[in-house]
Amino acid sequence: MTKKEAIYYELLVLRCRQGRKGALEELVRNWEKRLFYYIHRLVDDEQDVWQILQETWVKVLGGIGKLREPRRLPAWLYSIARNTAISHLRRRYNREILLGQNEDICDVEDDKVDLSLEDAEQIHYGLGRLSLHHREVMTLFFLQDLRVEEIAEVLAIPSGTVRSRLYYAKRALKNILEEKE
Amino acid sequence: MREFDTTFRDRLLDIEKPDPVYWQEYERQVKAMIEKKLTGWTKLSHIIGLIMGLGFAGLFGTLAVIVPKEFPLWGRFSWMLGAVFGLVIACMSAWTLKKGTINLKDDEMASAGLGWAFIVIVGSIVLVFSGSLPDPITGIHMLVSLLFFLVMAAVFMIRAFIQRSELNTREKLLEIEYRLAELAEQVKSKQSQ
Repeated sequence: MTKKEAIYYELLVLRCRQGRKGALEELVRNWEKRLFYYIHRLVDDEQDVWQILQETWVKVLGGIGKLREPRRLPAWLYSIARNTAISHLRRRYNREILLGQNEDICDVEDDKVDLSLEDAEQIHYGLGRLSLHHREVMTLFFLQDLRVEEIAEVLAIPSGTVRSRLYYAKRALKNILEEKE
Repeated sequence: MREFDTTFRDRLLDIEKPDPVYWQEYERQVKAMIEKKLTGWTKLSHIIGLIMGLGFAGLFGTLAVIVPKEFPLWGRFSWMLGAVFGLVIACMSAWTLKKGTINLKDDEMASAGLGWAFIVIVGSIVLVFSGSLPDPITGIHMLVSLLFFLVMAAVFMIRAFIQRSELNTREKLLEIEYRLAELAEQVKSKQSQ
């Protein structure tokens, strides 16, 4: 996050706290597409996705006054969206959601796997074929709002696990794309 | 991590084509959330405010007109102020009901100002009556009670003003910081060219 971005988030949060309609609109318009995309990678049914997004905004607009560090806005938004999606799925299907399952961790460099990012449609297709926890971490990676540490915070797992998960997810994505070709 | 530019993200996001029916319903709900539309209870409270405001205005206005000539001028003035206060409450409630939304920023300051105005009006009435009471002790009791409410209202109003000023100052500082960061970025990009 650049200094300018950090100041922008602080300014936006401050204006939202004052209940300014324009600031609230700006917050929603800037983030709804990204949150929609993220939630849709976790939940298949589009109607559910819209409902979760709506619930997310209720929580965000109600809780933005309590956000202690406005510079953490992106991670906070994704966390709320994720928790809302998980709660929704639990309520709807009455089952445990395996987003944070255990896995083998190894020390890896996440940029060791080369991925061609020319074709967004290919990536979108590939994301849909990844396992849920790989898809989630890759989606956050592609949305480019969070650093590894912040992704770890959103997913409530250690940073090392995020790096490892990213590595395996990239490898899996590369395989899917190669198979398709 | 960030080995690609944000246009990739935008292209990725553009692939998602939402159902227009769901989208419209979502838009409607979010708009209502942002505008803080009046719900059943808030609507009822504003209707009560409207009726009470009109009632106060009518009552105090009538009292100010019908009191005998011997009634102290200050007393008459207080009734008039009460009537004006009632009218202001009625107008504010009617206006909020008409627009159907609440504005947090303006409404907070308005409620602080109205609270202060109400205490001042009641205080004026108490001051007028406390001097003319046959028992001076009761008059003093009334004045002490008035002082308590006056201090409470003043604290409430000053706190609202301080909070507002702090937020405004912080906002101005952040705007300056943002502008400086923007300029720094421009200078940096020019230097790299």
